[in-house]
Amino acid sequence: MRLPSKARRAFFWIGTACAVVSITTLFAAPNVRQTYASKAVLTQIVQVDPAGESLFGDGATPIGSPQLMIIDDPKAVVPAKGTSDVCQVDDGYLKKNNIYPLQLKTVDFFVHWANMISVVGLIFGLILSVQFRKKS
Amino acid sequence: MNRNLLSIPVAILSASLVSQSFASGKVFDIDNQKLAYRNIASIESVADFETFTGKTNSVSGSISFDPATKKGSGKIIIDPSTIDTGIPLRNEHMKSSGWLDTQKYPQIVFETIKVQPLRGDDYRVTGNFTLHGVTKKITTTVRLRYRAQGQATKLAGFSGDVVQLSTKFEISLNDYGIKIPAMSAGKVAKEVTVSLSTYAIAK
Repeated sequence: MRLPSKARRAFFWIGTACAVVSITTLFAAPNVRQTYASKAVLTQIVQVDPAGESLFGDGATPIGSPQLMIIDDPKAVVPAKGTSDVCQVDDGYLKKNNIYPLQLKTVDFFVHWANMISVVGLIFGLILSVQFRKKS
Repeated sequence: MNRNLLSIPVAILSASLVSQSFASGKVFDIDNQKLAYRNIASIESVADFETFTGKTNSVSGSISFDPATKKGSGKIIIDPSTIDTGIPLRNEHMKSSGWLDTQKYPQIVFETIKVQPLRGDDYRVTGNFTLHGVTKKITTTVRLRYRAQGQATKLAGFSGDVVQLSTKFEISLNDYGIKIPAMSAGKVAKEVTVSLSTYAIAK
């Protein structure tokens, strides 16, 4: 069964659009990732307890393990006391201000899936546009 | 001279009384009221999508500890219905019957069976860990630090001798009857890290 020329043209343009969007995504994804990676800092969320420092020298209790995070609000950062490279962030401040820090691994997860979908989209788009271009 | 001679038996007697009070051990209660914010129990999941930590300050129980002999025992109870993951919808999911089922299983419990002193403030502790109605024996390293009542404890807001306990161990959710739905694969890890940091006071 041969499709009407209008439909074939529509499939051609859908395929082309799909391929263009996929190529754009494939080129943009690493830059998006790089933008977030440049802001990400190894961060340890802590519960601050200055009074507790007099007992055992612990002014802050770690919550979870250090993660690469993007912290946009500098007020959340607890001033560093040692030479550690890990940035401490106050859990109380985050909760109070409804801040849920973005993790670089979440960005990586989306970038990975965006790349996968784009590769599939590019192949699908190219097949569609080539197929309907040939027959038109 | 006579006074000095008299002071020797007094010193021996008081030293013996002190050592006796240590030898008998003390019971330290976890303060889950005024200073509850200092007690932190958390569960960390490291998955592909993100690492998230569920945290609660609802920790109760007591620790029996003898600083002289370094012997002790304890039972710690965590209220899983108060675990906060930072996302309200996820909190609700965690409490639901598919996950922790907090209505049916309102407590996470760790009770010691055996305590062996290691180095310094560290101890190898074997105990029963109960989660989601399933009890399993686990062995972990616990750090238990002791401070006798004094200026430092007063400054920190405690009225009595204080112990601070911290530990961390890994568990498999599957071992405790918690199955991760296919939809949540990649978002929640099968193995999670349970951490505890709590203060207890002897009154």
